[in-house]
Amino acid sequence: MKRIYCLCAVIFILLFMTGCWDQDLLKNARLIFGEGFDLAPNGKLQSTFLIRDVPASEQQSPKNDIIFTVGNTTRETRDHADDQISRHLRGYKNRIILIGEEMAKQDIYPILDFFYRDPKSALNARIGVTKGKAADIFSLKKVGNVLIGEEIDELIKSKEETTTVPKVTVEKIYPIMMDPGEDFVLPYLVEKRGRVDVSSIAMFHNHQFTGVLTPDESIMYLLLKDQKGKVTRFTRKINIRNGHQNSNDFLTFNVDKSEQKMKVLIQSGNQITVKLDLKWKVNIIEYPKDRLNEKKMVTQLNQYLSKEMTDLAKDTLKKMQKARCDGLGIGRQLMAFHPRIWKTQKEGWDSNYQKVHFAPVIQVEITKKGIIN
Amino acid sequence: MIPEKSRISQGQFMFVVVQSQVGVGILSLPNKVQASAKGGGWISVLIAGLAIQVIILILWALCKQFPSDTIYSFLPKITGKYLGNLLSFAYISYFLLSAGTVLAKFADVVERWILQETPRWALLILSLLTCMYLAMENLRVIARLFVISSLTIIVMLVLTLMGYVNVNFSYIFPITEAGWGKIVKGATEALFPLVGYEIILVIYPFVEGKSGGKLKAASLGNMLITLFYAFEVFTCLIIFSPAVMSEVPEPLLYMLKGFSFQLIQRIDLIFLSVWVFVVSTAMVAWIYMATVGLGRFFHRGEHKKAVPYAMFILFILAMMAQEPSISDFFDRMLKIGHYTFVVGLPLILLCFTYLIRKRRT
Amino acid sequence: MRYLLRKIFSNKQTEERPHMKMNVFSSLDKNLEFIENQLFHSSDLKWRSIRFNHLEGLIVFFESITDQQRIQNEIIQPIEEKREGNVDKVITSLEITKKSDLCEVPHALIQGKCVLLFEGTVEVYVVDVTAVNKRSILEPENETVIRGAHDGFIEHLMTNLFLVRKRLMNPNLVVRYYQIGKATNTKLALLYMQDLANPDLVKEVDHRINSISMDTIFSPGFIAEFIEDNPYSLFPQILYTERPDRVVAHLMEGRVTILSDGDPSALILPVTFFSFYQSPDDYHRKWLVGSFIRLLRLMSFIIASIIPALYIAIIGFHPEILPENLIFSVKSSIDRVPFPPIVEALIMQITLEVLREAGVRLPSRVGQTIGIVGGLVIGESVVRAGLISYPMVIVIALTAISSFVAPSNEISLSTRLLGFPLMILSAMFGLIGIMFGLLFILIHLCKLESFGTAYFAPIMPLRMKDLKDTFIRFPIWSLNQRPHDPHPKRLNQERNSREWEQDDPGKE
Repeated sequence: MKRIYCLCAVIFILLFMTGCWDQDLLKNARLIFGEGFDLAPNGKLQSTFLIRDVPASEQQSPKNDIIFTVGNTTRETRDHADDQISRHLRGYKNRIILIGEEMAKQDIYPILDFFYRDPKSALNARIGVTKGKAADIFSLKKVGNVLIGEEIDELIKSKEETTTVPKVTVEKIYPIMMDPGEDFVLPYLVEKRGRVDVSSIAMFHNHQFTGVLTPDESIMYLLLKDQKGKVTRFTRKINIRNGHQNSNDFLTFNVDKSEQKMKVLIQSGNQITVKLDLKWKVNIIEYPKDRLNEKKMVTQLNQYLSKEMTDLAKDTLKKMQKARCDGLGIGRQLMAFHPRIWKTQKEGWDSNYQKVHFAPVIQVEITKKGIIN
Repeated sequence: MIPEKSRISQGQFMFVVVQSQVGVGILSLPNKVQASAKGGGWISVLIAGLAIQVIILILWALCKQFPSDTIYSFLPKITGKYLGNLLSFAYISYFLLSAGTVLAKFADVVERWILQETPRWALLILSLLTCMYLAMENLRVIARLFVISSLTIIVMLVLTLMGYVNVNFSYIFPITEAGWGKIVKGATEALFPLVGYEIILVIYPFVEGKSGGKLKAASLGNMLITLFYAFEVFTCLIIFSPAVMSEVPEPLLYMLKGFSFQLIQRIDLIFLSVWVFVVSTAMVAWIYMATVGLGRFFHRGEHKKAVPYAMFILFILAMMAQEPSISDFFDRMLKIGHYTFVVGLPLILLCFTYLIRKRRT
Repeated sequence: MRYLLRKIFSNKQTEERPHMKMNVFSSLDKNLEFIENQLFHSSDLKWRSIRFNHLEGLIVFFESITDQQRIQNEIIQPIEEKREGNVDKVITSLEITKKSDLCEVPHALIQGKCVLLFEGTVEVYVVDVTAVNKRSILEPENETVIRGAHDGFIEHLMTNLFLVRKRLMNPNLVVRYYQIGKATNTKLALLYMQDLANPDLVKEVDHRINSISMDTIFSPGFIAEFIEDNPYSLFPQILYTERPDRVVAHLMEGRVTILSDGDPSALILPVTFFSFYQSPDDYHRKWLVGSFIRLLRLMSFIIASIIPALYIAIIGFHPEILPENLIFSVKSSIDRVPFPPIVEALIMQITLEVLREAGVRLPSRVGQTIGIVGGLVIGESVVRAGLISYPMVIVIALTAISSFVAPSNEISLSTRLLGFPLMILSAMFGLIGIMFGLLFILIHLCKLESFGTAYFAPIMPLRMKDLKDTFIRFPIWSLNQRPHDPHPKRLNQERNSREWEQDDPGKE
């Protein structure tokens, strides 16, 4: 017994003498805050690394360091960046991944593979597509008083709440990306006079960037997908009666509640029809013309808005079909509930998808009008 | 025959069964089952659970014939001393091999997910020393710990529940996509992560109470675990699209990787840490099964003395299993061993004892 | 080696006084001379001559441990007044014995008795006139409570027994005396409830106390070390208390208490881990409040033992666990620290222990200085100098505070000591190391048994009914049964004490 204890002690001491193999001290790390990927002229990958440095004293504010490197793969560019920087470059707190437009038009999976494979990578990083080069947006360094990395991160986060862009992280798009029956969408970032604007959605098909939705269409898409955020606002021009051109004619409303029902129907001749029924409960936020106490007026508005929104939905879906982006997962539905149809449609789903008939119907019901009539 | 100190109650017996069944398999099970059964993977698990219920019935019927004997002491009674002892050794090596594979797989996962640089031997020593400390105790102490560490299963359940933030139920449809044949084939795949109920063979005489109650306890334990596994598989199936499932060997961990709370992120690390408890208890169960036999043959029934060198054997086995070819070989051996020692042999022995009984009367 | 040491010690122990019988001499001088020789002419041995029944007599006593007032009142005065008669009847003392063996006299003298010798008589009278010098009953400083009884044990065994008996007026309360320590002759009292305490337990305790063969016993800590089951364990297995109400509560759960003369601490056994986290305070508060505070205490046990290890694991192995807004503020603080986190933690932890120990030793007036030196100088300057990071200071401070929450000093020390191996493990293997460490501790707790009861009851083995008074404190009227862990003879302690609730409805 005693000998065993001795042996244990010896082993333990031996372990301790040599130990700490996996130690990866936080103080020896340089933390990447954001990464950008662009297409370099010769078909190579240009990566931008946004490194956040925090000074030791509390008075000074954190600083950004930007490194540009060119290489063949994500990991290689990161290694190149590590060569140019003191201490170790660590990506486990990466917040944002931006992909330049040109790069996104290629297959983006090879860029992301590294993130999926590395056990330490930050899978909850936000991901987006930029108009122009991602490097250009990072090069802004500061927007107003906020550092660029933080600005983009917070901006996308707030836009997710206003149902402008989908809530996506690197992890969330993984199952969708690998699934042949569904496509993902990403926030689309535009640089406008030294500021970053996030108000629209970049559509993808088969890991490739294929088009952009307008802000209204983006919101509509998210509602069709039943991914409503906290706030969902539309502003519409109202011309119910004679077409007086008047700025007073604009109405802003918020969708408080949205019920979505999607049905995939197979009609004769393998015609796929997708029925989308949406019921909205709407809160009027701004309507200078008032007169909302009249019941007739409200029903009229209801009808008008329903029609308007249905049209918008149709436009949105048309645009998506044109971009071949199956953002609603119609293929997935076929696969799950109509496996036989799927077998025939599987080959060339890209083009078959464009033939799918969408029949969206949106019913708008005004339930709240704020605290005045 | 059985000393007062190592008797356990039926409730404890249930938890012992539970803890020996939950092991390393849980992480990779969804991946393996999905590979053959597709969206019906969770059904496969349920079928496997049912199959195990039948096996438990066989084992129980066998043990019932010898209410105060472990497998090592009743084997010679059935087959004669020479053959019986030989079979006992076969069982011991099967148990040791199981423990070794559990250990090896545990080291593999930890090396892949957390400690990439740490040498395998250090990790093995750490886990073996801890297991040794427990395995040297009598069954009552082991059972006590098993009861408490079953709490970790609840923690794991809660952590998995978080996965339901973004699920897509259409991923499992059509449920019978692969066809029933494949689903049953998936069930055979699911059988192996669920092994561990063999512990009935060894600890049956230590349990207090009537045989009916013992069967009930073991069945309840098996049911709980089957449901737990089915739930985990189901969760993975609705979170990952079928294409991803084949890419991710440990889907349970992978789905937790991106989640974050306000205070902590990387829930997968928390899950893995909790999982350490579960694996250690499963390992102790296997070691206990083996050392009871070794103790009977070499140390006059004191299993304690057999533990140190059993540990050494396990260490060697787990170091050897580092090579994929050898670990595959072990896996195949285990499958054969499982069918022969846990399904086939007990069935034959059962028939044999009935025949003997009949002839006598 | 150990064997050799034991041999040396046992040699010393066998040098006992040869006990032989010797009759009292009829000559007074011879007797006195013998006694003086036996006590080596100790200077505090005094005698006074008297006359009674026309015989020359002597009163011999130690002036140091006898009450001279009592000798005056109870012996000399009656004798001087009566002048003759029966000695037994004249002396008004409570306890008089006659002895004919002179060898027993010195032994009686050192216990504070005085001896009456008469010329020509072959018997001596031994009268108990022990002086009692005791402090008043005060609240024990290390176990203060807000509500509840404020009396505590003192160094006098009789007073302590009085305090217990006063609260437990029950013929079933049994006191057994023992004399332990061949040289010091320390008096012990074993207390238990005849109708509750498990007879096996009492027998076992009795057996273990009787087997103590040390010659000096000067604190209950000695006894505890002699009788506890697992001397190598870090966890205390015997509960020390100076509160009579705590003793009574435990006696009524069927446990056994050992009191010793000359020390205010009572030993309660067998106890479980959770007894160390119960305080009499819990039962004076509303049950919800009491439960909350008890949960807080148990949580503090976890915090105190694993937080430093967790911090090391996170900073050294898995920084990705920290959320992004936290990681940058932590990083800014630790960037300048020259040591690896384990060294940092060890430095701080040891500094803290040194400070604590210094604080205990110093008188309270100087103690404040320690507060200033420790709190301000070390806390602030060490960070300023860049030796230790702010988060580490916070972590260690949190550890210290949490460990002080425990109502028992023993467990609080154990808790902090427990942190060290966990810290080392976490510095080697990160989270996995901590988990194996915790598993090891859990196995150890599950293995520990003291006097036949599981140490970690009622969790291991699990007993749902006892959980009512473990993590949280259920209302007292729902605690129908006593805790099961000391295996009391009677389990039920209460049944429907709120019966009046059902009596009422008729009135409405």
